[in-house]
Amino acid sequence: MTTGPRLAPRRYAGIIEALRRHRLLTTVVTVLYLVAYLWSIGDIVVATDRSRFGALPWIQVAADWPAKLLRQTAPFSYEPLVAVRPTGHLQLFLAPVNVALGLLLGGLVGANLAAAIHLHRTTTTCRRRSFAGLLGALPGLLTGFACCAPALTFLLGAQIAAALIGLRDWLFPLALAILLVGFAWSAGRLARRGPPGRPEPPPQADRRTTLEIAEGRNDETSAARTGYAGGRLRAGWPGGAGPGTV
Amino acid sequence: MLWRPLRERACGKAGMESDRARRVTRRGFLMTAGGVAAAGSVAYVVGRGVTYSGSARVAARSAPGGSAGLNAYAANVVPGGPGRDGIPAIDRPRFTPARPGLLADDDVVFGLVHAGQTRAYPQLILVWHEIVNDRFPDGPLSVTYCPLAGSVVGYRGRAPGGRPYTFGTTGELVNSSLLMYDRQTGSTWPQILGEAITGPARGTSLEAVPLEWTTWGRWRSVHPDTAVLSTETGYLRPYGTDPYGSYRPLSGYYSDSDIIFPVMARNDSFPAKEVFIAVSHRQAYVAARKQSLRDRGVLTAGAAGGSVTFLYDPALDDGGAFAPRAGAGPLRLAALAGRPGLYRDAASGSVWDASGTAVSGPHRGAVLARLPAFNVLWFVWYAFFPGTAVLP
Repeated sequence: MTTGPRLAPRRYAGIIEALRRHRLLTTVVTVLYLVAYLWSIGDIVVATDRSRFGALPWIQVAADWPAKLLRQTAPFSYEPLVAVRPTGHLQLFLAPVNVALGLLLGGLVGANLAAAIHLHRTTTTCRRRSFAGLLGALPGLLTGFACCAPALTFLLGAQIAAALIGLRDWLFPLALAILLVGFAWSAGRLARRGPPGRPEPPPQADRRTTLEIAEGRNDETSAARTGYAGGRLRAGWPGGAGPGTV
Repeated sequence: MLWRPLRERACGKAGMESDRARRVTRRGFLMTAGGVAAAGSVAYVVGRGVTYSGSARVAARSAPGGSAGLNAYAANVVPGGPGRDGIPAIDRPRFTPARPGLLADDDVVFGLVHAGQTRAYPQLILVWHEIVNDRFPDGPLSVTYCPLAGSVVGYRGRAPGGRPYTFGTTGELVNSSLLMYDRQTGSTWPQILGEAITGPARGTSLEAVPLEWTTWGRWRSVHPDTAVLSTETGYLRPYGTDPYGSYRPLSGYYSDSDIIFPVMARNDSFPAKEVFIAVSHRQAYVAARKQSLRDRGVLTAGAAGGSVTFLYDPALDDGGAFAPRAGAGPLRLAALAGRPGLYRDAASGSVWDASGTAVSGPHRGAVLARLPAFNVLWFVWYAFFPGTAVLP
């Protein structure tokens, strides 16, 4: 097997390179997903009308907060310990476990996106371009929506809301599983690609004639004779100048 | 195949030149299509199951009572989303005096005058807690509110050992209505029934205490000395917002026709979300359209075991249900022209106010027996009591 020696030494080099190159994108996507996730589970509330209960304090800490740290309000949703109201129309509720879960999913979404973009930009064949791993982001957001059935009905309709409430316990694990599988798939693709920056060679048809095959002549010899070198393959692989040299 | 020329156009000939690539792509396409179809099927089946499974399990039961009936309710319990106590009951309620700016005049509050205490429970707080385990001079009383059923009622009772009940939320529903559990025995109690359907207390009932469903402005004008439930509940919630919609103006779940959770019986004679004032009295079930009561002032039903009279209170925009005094005949009340909220008894000539107190005539000072009627949405009440009588 020719791929073995290439995979073993730097199995994670490709995915690390992808994350390194797209670290800003990964960070931004992680933060955006975290915000969306917290909004969907009700930890970020935007209110248009605040004319009730006088002036609520701009910051509040829950009574007996250590006891509430791991208190669940719904599957994969935890009791907020601190409330912050920076403006009259925005309320933020801090539940450390919710933030951690949102960061976990958001980080995986960002990493999947970075890997997918890296694959997309460095791939020579169409089949490699896939953003399938990003599908995992959706159940994670639905986990939050499902906490509150009526809110779901506004967005999705009663039938779908009822279905999602039934799946409530599975949405977060499903999101996590999809994102992890997607990430592992992308990492595997990048690992098979070889060292960072080196594109995967496109599969080439054997251009040798029947006689040349029978005589055991290799492609380079044949190319030298026929003047055909397999396009990008000859210039860029192996030992060529890298991608984009053709 | 259809997808192949599409992919050739999208990817170019170079991207399609490998047979291996085409095989992988085809396989991927089929796997993706199969996955989507499977996921859709699962969602569809689950959706149908959650939405309609209740109707398949409707038992031969038109009213509570009896082991089979309780079993039917227990079989139709469905998860509502949050877990047990995920919607936390308020166990140490604090109250503040009424003051300007606390609430808007048209915000909904649930008013209670009990044991010499006058208290208001803002809907915008209860929507996040659903249960307040309150204390009064005569003992504990739990105020329970179900946003999905649009129902509020107070309950009190004692466990077999004599300890007073306090309640929490199970996170589950029966007929799209709150299912509580008591912390003394762990038995489960549908709010609409007030009767335990599972656990050691199964088959026993709670004492129901009616509350007024009114607005802050109306309640404050009638009871300026009222105390108001504080937002210092021990929990952090976005008080002032309502995840279900709004009563000011009416919107969201409260105004649409969607029924999210399964119900054991349905009837489309009235809009699903129409508000009724309903009561169970001596194994009879009577419901009056709130709008009809507003229009006519008084409605009377001859229920089994005695009549039930609904009186409209224009000051609070709410209605109460009353039974005749012991030994007295059926009430024949009619709204007094030009005197909203007062009702004349044709038989005796006495005049009664909306609270059921005779304010003039031979019975002056007498008080009618108030029944624990409460506001409730039509589809929920009918799901529990398909044999209900409806006024008019």
